[in-house]
Amino acid sequence: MIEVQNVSKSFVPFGLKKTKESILAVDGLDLICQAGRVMTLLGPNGAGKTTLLRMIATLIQPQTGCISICGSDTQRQANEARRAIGFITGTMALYDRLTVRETLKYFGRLNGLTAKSVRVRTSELADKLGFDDFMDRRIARLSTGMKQKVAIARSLIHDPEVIILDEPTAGLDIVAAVGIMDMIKAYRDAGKTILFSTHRMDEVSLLSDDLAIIHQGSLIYNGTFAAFKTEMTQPSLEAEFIKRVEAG
Amino acid sequence: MKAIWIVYTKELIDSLRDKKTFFMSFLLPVLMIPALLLAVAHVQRSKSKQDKAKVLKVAVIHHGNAAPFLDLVKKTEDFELVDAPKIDAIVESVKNEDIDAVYLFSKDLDSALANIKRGYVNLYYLGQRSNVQERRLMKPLNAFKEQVVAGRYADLGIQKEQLLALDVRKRDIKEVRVFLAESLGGLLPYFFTLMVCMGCLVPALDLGAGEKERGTLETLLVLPVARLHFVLGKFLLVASFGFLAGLLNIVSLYLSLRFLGGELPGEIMNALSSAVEWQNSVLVLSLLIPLSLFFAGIGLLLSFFARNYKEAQSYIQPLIYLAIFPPLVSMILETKLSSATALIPIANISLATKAILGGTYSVLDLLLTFGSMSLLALLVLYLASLLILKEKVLFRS
Repeated sequence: MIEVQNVSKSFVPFGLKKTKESILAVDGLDLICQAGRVMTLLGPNGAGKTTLLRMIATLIQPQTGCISICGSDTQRQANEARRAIGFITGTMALYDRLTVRETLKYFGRLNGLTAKSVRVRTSELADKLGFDDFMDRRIARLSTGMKQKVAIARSLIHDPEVIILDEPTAGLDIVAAVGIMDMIKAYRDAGKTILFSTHRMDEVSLLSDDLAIIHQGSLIYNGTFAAFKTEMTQPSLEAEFIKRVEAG
Repeated sequence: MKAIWIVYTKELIDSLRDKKTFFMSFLLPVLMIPALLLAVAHVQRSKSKQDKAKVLKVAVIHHGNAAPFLDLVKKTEDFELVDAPKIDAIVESVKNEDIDAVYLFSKDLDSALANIKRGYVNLYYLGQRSNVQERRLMKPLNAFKEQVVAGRYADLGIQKEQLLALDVRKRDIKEVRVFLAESLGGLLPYFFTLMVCMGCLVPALDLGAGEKERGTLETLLVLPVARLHFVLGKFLLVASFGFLAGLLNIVSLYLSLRFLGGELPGEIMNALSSAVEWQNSVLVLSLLIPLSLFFAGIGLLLSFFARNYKEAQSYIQPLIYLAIFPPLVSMILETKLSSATALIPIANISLATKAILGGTYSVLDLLLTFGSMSLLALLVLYLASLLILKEKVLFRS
């Protein structure tokens, strides 16, 4: 479970020094993601999605408010919170010169798993995601879809309770994207908490149990996706989204 | 500690597979010294051979004087006497290398010499880096001078030795080994410092800015590991690569001397050999430890501070000058290691190496060098870890 309470974060844009010119990226935001549900985070570019996800993933610290992951405060109990998090981004961010096995071993060991547990989890994930035949191949020699599978396995090697996905299907073909959608559903069904950021409305309707729309650092919608659909006044999700963003 | 070791081993595998790092940290230090020795020996040999073998075209403008000199020139091997240019065309002819040298005697040479006065001659030639040619051109002149002086002694009925009031016998007690070690001692640390610097900076670029650019830094920072442990794991890897580059440089020097030593003049060979005696090698290597730590700290700091690889390269470039200039300045100024110079960062390593090779070091000065450089390295590491861990630096984009 993720609990975000009154969280704010501002930045001074690159090249500027004065705090007066800082930009409020996230403004007093409250959010709760329940276990066994997928919450989709939607928002235009620059709305504050990535900043919020980075704060939840403990990469950066909120200036006000607090965030807790499965009961651990991300500032006071950062490592406990991190043990419960799997963070997946669309950039894949892998080490080209390592093999798949070496990559999973590295992240597994840093997550505190024993060598034996790493082997077991690696084998499980390779079966589930279908990269068993590429275990000893260097990352640089894998296809984009295969790399994304490895990136997912890397983030799930420690079987986290909370999975945060920041546009995980960006740049992927339809087959690979559907594979990720299926994986998200499977983890939701296994009782994990999933926070998912995307630009694609088809993914929103396919996955969302809950929906949060963020605009200029604040939430303009926070509720179930079912409720959102009943409140819709526009013919499509895209049109409804645009209407709400323009209304501010 | 376990996390630091995991980070270290992963970075080791990753960096060893990086061709650029492998080349700069391992191949270059190994290949540079034998390549340099072979090149220097080859160039020196062929240049000297060329200068000795060349037939020099010389002209003599004598105004009917200096007949004995003309005879000497005609008898000199590898001299070709050519037609003399006009006086105002001498410089042009020599500059264009139509003629290698022109001897221009004064019009009254013979009468001046006959009256026990001094005669004048101008020698026009194009200076070379090696003075072989100059020595060859001076040979007939010196012989002519000797003839004239010998005639004068004979006329006066005295021996040359009778006019020598004071016979100065110079006894430079500096051993050839010390002299050469001091000059080479400036050159060798120049290589060592540069190799350690390059050995550190190339992996540092990848481990900081490279992580940022690939986006892998974020995937690390969400792991339940203290951020300082990541920094320390990376720092130790970068420092070991720097130290290893220095070590390989010394091993390469040893092997080069063993297998290519015959190409070098004996005295240089002896001085270089003293550099790789095991006691000296151990002392020099111990100095490379704080140097590696220093470059690792500063390299990682700049690498993490940069927003991307390209920016990191531009920050790190000036560091290479830091590795080049202090040893160069200490070499040019002939500064010695003292308790004061032992406190000047980087230059102290070069001065200490020079003293070790010449066998002129004091243990206290070496300890001061090691201590001050280690303190500086720790300070840089402390600052680096403080700054690298800052959110503003990690996500500076």
